[in-house]
Amino acid sequence: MVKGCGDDMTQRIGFLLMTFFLAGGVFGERPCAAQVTLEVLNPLGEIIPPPTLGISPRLPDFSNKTIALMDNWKSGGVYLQDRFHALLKQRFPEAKILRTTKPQGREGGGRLIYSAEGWYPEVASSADAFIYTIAD
Amino acid sequence: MEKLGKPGVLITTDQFLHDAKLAAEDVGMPSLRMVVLPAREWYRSRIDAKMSGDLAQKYFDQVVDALTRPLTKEEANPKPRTKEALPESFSVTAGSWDMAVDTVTQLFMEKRMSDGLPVVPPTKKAVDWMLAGTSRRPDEVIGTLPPRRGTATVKKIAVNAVMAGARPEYMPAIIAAVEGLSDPKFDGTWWRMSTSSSFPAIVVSGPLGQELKMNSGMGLLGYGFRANAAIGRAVQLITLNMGQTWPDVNDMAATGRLNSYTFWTFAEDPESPWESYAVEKGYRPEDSVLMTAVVPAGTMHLIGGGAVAPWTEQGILDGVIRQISNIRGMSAIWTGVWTVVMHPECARRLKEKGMSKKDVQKYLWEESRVPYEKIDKSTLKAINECLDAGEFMPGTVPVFREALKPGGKVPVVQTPDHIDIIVAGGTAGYTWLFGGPGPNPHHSVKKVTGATLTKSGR
Repeated sequence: MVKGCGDDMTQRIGFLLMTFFLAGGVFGERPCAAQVTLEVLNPLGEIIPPPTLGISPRLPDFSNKTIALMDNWKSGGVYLQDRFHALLKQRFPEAKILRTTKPQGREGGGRLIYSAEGWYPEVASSADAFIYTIAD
Repeated sequence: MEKLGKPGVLITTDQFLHDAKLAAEDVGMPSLRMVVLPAREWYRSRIDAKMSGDLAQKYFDQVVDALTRPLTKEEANPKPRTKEALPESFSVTAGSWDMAVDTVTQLFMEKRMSDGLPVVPPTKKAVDWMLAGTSRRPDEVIGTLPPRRGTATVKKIAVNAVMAGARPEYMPAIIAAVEGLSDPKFDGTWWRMSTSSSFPAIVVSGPLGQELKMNSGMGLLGYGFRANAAIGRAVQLITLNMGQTWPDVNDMAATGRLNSYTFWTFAEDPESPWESYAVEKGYRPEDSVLMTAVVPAGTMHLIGGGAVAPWTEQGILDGVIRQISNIRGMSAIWTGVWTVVMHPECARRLKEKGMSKKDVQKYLWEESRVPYEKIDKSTLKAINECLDAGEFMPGTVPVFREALKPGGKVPVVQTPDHIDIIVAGGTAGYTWLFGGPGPNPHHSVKKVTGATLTKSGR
């Protein structure tokens, strides 16, 4: 049975009344007779933050710039990119578009955990900016 | 891409915004620009090109703005993130021991440092007791765990092991499991953050399982065995407290992770007719290892079951082959990685037929291959592209090249040893398997070391 600090109050009433009268009732609320203090260690792991970096300067406009439309193969992301593609062509006819899908999930894709590692430098070498549909 | 100097914008949803912002912070780019779609609209729209397109149109101006609006000073030079000063300990006071224990549990819940069940208070004395189970130094760094990359030292592992109700003799196994899950080659981010309900399996192979009285037989995934339960719970708390995850913040499992409190934690049958998994992986018979693997949600397939229906060893193998061959159709990813947990009676019968474990792996690999003619053209093209791009294991490339011809049979598992076999379960039990497509490698194998209280794992 779990007991709180005051659970034995009725059993101790005689003792408390006597204390009250002896002390003249001037001490106010008494601390619990059996306080337990536990010092417990912190289970969290320390995080060493990575260096903080700013984001890259923006493009003044899209003239003769290549915009990479990147999707991570999750369903529907490509529909968003299809419309972005059409809107870019319509509103910024001078812009070039590069369509690309994260390799790891490509149909028939491999199983290597780092198979996407080469993708980012490859896209970065051919594009001036990117729109990435995470699709989550 | 941003780190490579290219300006960009991420398209995400309000459901994942917090997660995305934490991820941006974790890679050191807190100012990444995002365009946020309402999840309710997007999740409905993504099924249809027109609905998705209309949503894209609605947010297109924001996308253009994110790519062209000049950076603010804060975006160009964000305030450096400083190391968070973690308090070494917390003090709680209550009217009795029982109330103090409950107060610790409540405090840890409020600080998102526990799983919802009561914890054993990790006092210094209790943690020192736990550390007595290992000869490894308390400040030794075992690894960091995703997504937030908190550092798992031996002492932090001990704190969490105390909370989980472990005993000191479990410590070396818990440490080995953390070594496996924090291995950079093991994709811990996927199982810890993904919307799927995937979770780890933790398997002890070698004599340590028996010494710790772990269940390897009937009901091995169930309750009733302290070592199974406490080792699993300790590992769960460690991944929570090092990765600093929380549901709907950065652990996005939509229905939660199955077996969230203890994962699947069991031992290999010490009476296996074949060499142990540890020996198969090159360790000595007296060594013990921890195998950690991801269990993708929904991939536990039961085959056989002597108490339910008759089975034959060939029928079991056929069932495994069916699953391995079929599951590829569920994913865009071609090859898979599997763990077959074979019930001992089946293993014994296969051994009697003269099959070694390697023979069985090879047989499963061979028989699950798909005839070239049955693979559609776009998939064949994609497999070839992936081979060209170096996305398959180098040693397997010639095998695939040879198979990708008329008359060829194309493997759905890259190598036979991507079908692990663990002998465990009851006589009346099933053979079952889990795995499937997903980041590779699924499996991490670490030798247990530093034990002080058991004969094995020293």
